[in-house]
Amino acid sequence: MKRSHYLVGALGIAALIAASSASVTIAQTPAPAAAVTFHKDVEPILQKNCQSCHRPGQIAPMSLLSYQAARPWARAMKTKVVAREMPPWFADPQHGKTYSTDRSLTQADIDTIATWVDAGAPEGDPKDAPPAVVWPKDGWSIQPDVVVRGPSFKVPARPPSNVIEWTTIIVPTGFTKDTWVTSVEIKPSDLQVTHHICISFQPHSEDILYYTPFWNDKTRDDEGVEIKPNPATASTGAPRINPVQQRERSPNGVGGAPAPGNAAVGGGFLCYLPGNQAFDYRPFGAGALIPAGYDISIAQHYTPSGKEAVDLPQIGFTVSNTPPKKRWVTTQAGGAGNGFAIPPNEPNYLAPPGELEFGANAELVMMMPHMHVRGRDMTYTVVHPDGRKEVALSVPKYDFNWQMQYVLSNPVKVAPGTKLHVEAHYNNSTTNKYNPNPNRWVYPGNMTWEEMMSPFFGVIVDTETDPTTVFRRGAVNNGGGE
Amino acid sequence: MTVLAVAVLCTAGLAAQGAGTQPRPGVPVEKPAIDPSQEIVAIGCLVKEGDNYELRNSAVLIRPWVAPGLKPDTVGTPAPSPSKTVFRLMHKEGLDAHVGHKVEIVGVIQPQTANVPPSPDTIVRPGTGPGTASAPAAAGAQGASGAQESAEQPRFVPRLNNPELDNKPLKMVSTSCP
Repeated sequence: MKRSHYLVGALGIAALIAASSASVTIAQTPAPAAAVTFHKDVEPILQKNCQSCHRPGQIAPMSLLSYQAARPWARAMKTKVVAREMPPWFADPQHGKTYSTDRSLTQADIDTIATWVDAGAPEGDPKDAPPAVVWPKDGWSIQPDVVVRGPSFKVPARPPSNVIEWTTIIVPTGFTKDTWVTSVEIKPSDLQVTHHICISFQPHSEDILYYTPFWNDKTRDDEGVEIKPNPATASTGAPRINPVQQRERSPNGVGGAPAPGNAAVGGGFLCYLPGNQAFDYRPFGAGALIPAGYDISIAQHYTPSGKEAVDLPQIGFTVSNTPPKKRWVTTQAGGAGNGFAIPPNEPNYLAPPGELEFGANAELVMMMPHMHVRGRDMTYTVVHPDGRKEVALSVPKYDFNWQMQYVLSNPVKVAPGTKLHVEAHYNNSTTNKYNPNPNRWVYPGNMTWEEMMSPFFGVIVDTETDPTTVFRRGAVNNGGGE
Repeated sequence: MTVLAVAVLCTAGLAAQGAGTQPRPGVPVEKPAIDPSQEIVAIGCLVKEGDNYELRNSAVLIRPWVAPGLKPDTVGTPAPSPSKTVFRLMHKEGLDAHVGHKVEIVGVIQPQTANVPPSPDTIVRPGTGPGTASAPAAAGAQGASGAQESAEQPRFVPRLNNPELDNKPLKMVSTSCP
C-alpha cells in the first residue's frame, strides 16, 4: 500500500490489457472496401487521442504508433474505450466548459474502434493512412530548444518503512542572460520510481549548496505515517494543527510553491506528475521569464520499486528571442492547512476550502487538481466581483493515477477582486479501493498514504503586468502541500 | 491453473509492451538526440580531511544542451556560479600536491541519495554551516532551530548529503584559496 499507486494502476491496466488481448482472433483476410480499417478509420483517432501517451518513452505501457504495435491490443482497446476508461478524462461536462487537453473520445470514435475490433481488426490499405505524426524525439512531449540536467538520484530497493523522504536539490540553470521560455517539461528517466518532481526558480545566493540533497528524517509509525506532536489531542482523534507542518508549506519551503510574487518566474511552480506532461505556454502566445543566473530548486519524491534504480531527470525548455505578449503564472489556491483532518471511515470529507483573490486582470487558462489516494473530487469556482459564480472545472471522480492539466479552450477572464474558490472531498472509507487504512485519522503529509489538497492553476496576464500584483498577498487561504 | 494462466498472460503482455520501448539484443541502441553533458566544472579550494579530499566553496559551471540550429549562447555564455558547495572527490591521485590551492576540476556528479545513516556530516547544524542561508529549502522548513522535539512540534532531523564528484585530473588556478 505504500507503493506508488499509479504504478499499481498502470500495471493493473497492463495486466487487464494483456489478459483481454490474448483472446483476440487474428484477422488474416483483407477487409471489404467499405469496412472500418485501421489506417482509414482507427489510426486518425489514435493519433489525435492516444499516441501522445502511447509511444515509446511515455507513461503508457504500449505503443500505438503503428498497426503492428496496436494490433495485439485491439480487444483491450475496445474494452477500455467502450467503458470510457481510456483515454483518461475526468472533467464534468455539465458546466459548459471545454478543454483543449480533452483526450476523451466521441461516441462516434468509440463506435468506430468497436466496429473495427468486431470485424477482426483489419489493417486496410496503408495508402489510406494519415501522415504520421512527428512526435518529439527521445520521449519528450515538447521539442526542447534547451535542456538542463537535473540531479541524478539513486532510489534504494527497499528503504526502511518503504519511505524515501522528499528531497530538495538546487542546481544552476546555466542561463547567464535573461531568457523567455515558452514551454517547460520535466522529464524523469525512470517513470516507475518517480512519484513527482517539482521545480521552481529562485534568485542565486552565493552561499547556496548546489547538487546537495536536503531532506528531513521524520519519525514515522509502522505504516509510514508521520508521527504528529500532540499525543493528547491525537488520542481524542481531534484535528491537530501542526505549526511546523505549516512552515513546511510556507513559500519556498520544502517543495512548496513559490511566493505569489515569484510565481511568474519561469512559469511558477511546475511539476512532473503521473499523467501530467509539459507546461506549454505557446498556445496562448505566452511565456515566462527566467532571469540570468537564477537557480532551479528541485523537489523530488521517489517511491521504491523493490529494485534499486537511478533516475536521471532533465528539464527542457522552448525559448523565445523576443518577449511574448502574455506572461504565464502558475500557483495554487490554498491547500491542506489548518483544520485539515479526515475522520476514520468518513466517505465524503469536505476539506477546508482553498481560496485566492486576484489583484490584476488575468485569464484563467489551466487547472491541475492534486490530492492523494483518498482524494474524491475537486471543484474550481470563479467568484466574480459582482457575485456571479462560474465553475471552471469540476472533477467528480478524481484519480490519483491520472493527474492531468485541464486547459480551458476559452479562458475565463477575471478582474481584480475576483476569487478562485476550490472545494475538495475525500473518501476515507472502505468504498475507496485505494484507501490503505480507513480506520485512522488522516492529516496533511508528503506520502501518498497521507493527504494533500493542492489546487494548482495557471493564468496569463499582459507581459507588462507586474507579476507581484496578480494575486493579492495574504489572500491565499492556507498553504497547500504538493 | 487460472492463476498460472493469468501469470502467463501478464508476462506475455508485459513482454509485448516492452517490445516497443526496450532495446533488442543485437540491435544498436540509438544515441539520444538530446543528450546534455553530465560533466560540470567546479572551481574551489582543495582540502584534505583525514584520507579524503574535498573541494569547498565551489563555483559551478554547467553547459545546458542547446538544440542544433540555435546559437550556442541562446541562454548566455556559460560562466561559473559561485556557491559554498562541498564536493567529495572520488579519485585521490595527484591531489596531495594541491591541498590548499584553488583548483578547477571537471567531473560527473554521482547519483544522490537521501537514504544514508545519520552522521555529523549529514545533519544540518542549527545556526551554522550549511544549515543557514545555504539550505533555505530544508532549514527554512524547520525554522531556525534545526532538529525539533517538543509537545507542540514533531520530531524530525534536517539532513543533507554533500555530493560526490567523479573527478578528472585537476587544473591549478592559484596557490591560495580566498
